[in-house]
Amino acid sequence: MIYHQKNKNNKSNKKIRNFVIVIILITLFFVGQKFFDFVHLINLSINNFKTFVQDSVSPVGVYFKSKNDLISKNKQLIEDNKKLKISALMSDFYQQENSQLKSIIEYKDPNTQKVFARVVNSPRNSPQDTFVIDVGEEILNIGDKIFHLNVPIGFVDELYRNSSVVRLYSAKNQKIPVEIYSDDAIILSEAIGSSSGNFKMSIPKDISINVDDSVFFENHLIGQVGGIEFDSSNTFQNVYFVFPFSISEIKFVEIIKNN
Amino acid sequence: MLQNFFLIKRITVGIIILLSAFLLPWWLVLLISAIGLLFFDNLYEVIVAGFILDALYGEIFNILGFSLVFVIISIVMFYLLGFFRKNLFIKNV
Repeated sequence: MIYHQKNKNNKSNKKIRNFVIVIILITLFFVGQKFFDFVHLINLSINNFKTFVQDSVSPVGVYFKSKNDLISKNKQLIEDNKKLKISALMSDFYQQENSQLKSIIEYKDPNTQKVFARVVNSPRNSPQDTFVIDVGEEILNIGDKIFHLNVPIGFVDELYRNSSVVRLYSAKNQKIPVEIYSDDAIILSEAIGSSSGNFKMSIPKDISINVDDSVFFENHLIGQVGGIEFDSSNTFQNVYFVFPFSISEIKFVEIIKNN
Repeated sequence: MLQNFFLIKRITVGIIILLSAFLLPWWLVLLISAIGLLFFDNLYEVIVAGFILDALYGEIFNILGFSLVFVIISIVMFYLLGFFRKNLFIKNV
């Protein structure tokens, strides 16, 4: 008798559970796009609060670090500073040279407009190479190009009221035309995204490519050849390269708007 | 009193799952959801978390052109882990 009662309760519990799930699904499907907008709105608020807390708490963490750790960090920073000074000098030289060259060819593109945005959801949170930025449909358009440290990294893929989803060129199966500057030639190829900031290219074996050769996309350096793989059963060699920075450390990006 | 304590724990776990969908990597959200489903009966927040993940990343992350991947994963987890939970005799914490 007790068994029957329990069984009856289980059956009614299952019915209630299925009913609740169906109601949740129907509600969410019907409000679809509005729910997505609402999620992005909440996401922006929560992540802004997270950034505020992180910024407030991080200076406190310094006090807990050991003295030796701080000394070694200081030495490392002095070394880094020396290197950066050298590269800054080089950068000034290149900027001057660049502006001179631009003035020679009278380069001017009136249709481009720059916008800066903060990364709300880091690429490491996403299953693919995507992230959310805090600029929305009022300013951006789908397809606008995203840059980080003057490196083209991706494009705007989805737009919401106050935020947008950016897709990196290194997202799975994303294809971009690239130029490899080898010792004696410029090789045109197609790079295929293979996630986490990595790219793969298939190039005929008879073309000579070396590790550290520069890879360019739309006249911007996008990376350096990191590895070359030869397969004896294939007439092509697999060439791998990666963005010059870790994509999980991207905090701010620059967007070039094309009107 | 005991019922109230259970309710507080249940609500806390629900809030943690929903917040994690916004703040943590997707795989960690699924892991937390799975642990929650093993210890709590009818944790519907897992399905809502699936929708949140799809809203944030789903349009891009699709399998065979179907973009509500995380909702499907969360519903499968909901029933599968509910079944395991029942058969492993795990009681509500």
